[in-house]
Amino acid sequence: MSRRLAASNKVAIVGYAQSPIERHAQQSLGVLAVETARRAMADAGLDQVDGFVTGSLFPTAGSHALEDGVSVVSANWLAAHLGINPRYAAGFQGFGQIPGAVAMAVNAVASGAADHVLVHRALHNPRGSYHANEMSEVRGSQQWIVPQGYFGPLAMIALAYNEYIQRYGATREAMAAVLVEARKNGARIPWSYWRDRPLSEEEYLAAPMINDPICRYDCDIPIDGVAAFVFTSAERAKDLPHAPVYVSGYATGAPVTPRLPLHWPLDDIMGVGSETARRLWESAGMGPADVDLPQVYDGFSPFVYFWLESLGFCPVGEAHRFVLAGGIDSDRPGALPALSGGGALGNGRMHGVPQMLECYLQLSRRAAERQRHQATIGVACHSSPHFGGAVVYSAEPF
Amino acid sequence: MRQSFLPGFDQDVPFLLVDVELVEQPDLRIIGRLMDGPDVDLHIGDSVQVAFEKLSPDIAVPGFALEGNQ
Repeated sequence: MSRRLAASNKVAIVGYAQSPIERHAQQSLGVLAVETARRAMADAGLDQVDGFVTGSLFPTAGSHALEDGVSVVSANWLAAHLGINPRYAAGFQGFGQIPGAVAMAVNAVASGAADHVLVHRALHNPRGSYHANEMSEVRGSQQWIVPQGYFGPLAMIALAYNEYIQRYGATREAMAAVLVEARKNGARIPWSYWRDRPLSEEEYLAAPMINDPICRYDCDIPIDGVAAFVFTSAERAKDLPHAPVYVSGYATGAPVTPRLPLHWPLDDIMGVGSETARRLWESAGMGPADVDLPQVYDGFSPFVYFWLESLGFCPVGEAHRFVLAGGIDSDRPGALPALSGGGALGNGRMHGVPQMLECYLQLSRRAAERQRHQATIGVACHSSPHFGGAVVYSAEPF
Repeated sequence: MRQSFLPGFDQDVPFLLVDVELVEQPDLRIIGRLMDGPDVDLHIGDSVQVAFEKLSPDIAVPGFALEGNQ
């Protein structure tokens, strides 16, 4: 029995909008989401949609308030404030919100639950420290990490990155190549927070450690920003203004090993990650050699290594040498342009949006002066290979 | 850890956390402070023993010390 996604290439992205990415937007997050959703529907040539999906997680360890329309924007909130009573509205509750939400949108269109589904992602940067938490008591599973001082996502990724460095001999110079590449590409993107602001190797290497071996440049910068994409069937897409970009397959990571909170050992990331990759290629009916536009997730820089290796773009343990040798240089012919969309490091904390947006813009031939004319198959990754997921996009149905 | 996002650790930074697999139960891994301090030369596979950080007469938090150093 084929494990290929039955809806493979039957649902497509037909329009999008991306807000400016700013440290603190002038409007509230809800207003920004409404404006961005309206622009996305207009871009797709539609007056409205009848489906809404998001993953609204506020990725902070801090003690910030969760308020719909202010610090998060749910699918139902957005539909209501657009004055739409949708046939289908749902939220993805796991990690890897972008591939999770895309999968739900594809399923909704393919099943007929909705004809046109808007997938949005709204990210908020609260005032004050993003991850600081003033807790004075701790209960539940966190009682096994907080008194020890193990807290927050920087500590989480520092542990796995330490394992990688010790196991494979990765250098800071290699990671500098990742940051220089992400910020080079981000500097070329009009809506990026880092527009016209590349990063030099020297600046990266001079940055002090926060949780060794993680420095501030290894972390994407918190921002206010919203992106929205419109999905519909391949059939209906023929009548819409832009070239459709087809969803060929998707996968999300699981099952994960039971661990303490925020404890993501390298073997868990890579072990479950290989299963995520296997299911992804099976779903899309292809393998890594077919992909010419991989967009790896980089909310923390070590994820670039973990995704390159998990998806089979280079051998396990070799990603640091691969990037140091120019393997992901978007300006080098024959290289894998794995951060050509700037990623989160080059745009700001838009979660998996920059990866998805780059796949859409390049494959629909809407990337303007950044257009890569040969790109045909893209992969957009989000979060960790073991907790997140990825989506395969194609410029042509096959 | 050179910076903590929690209250009460400002006097403690920098400190070093270790991820320890129990000899008694492989695959069970717990995280704690290495009591030897932040500047030790540490490698994957080094052996540690449980040790305790006394926060007050009533409260102690489990941590670890390099074997032979406790």
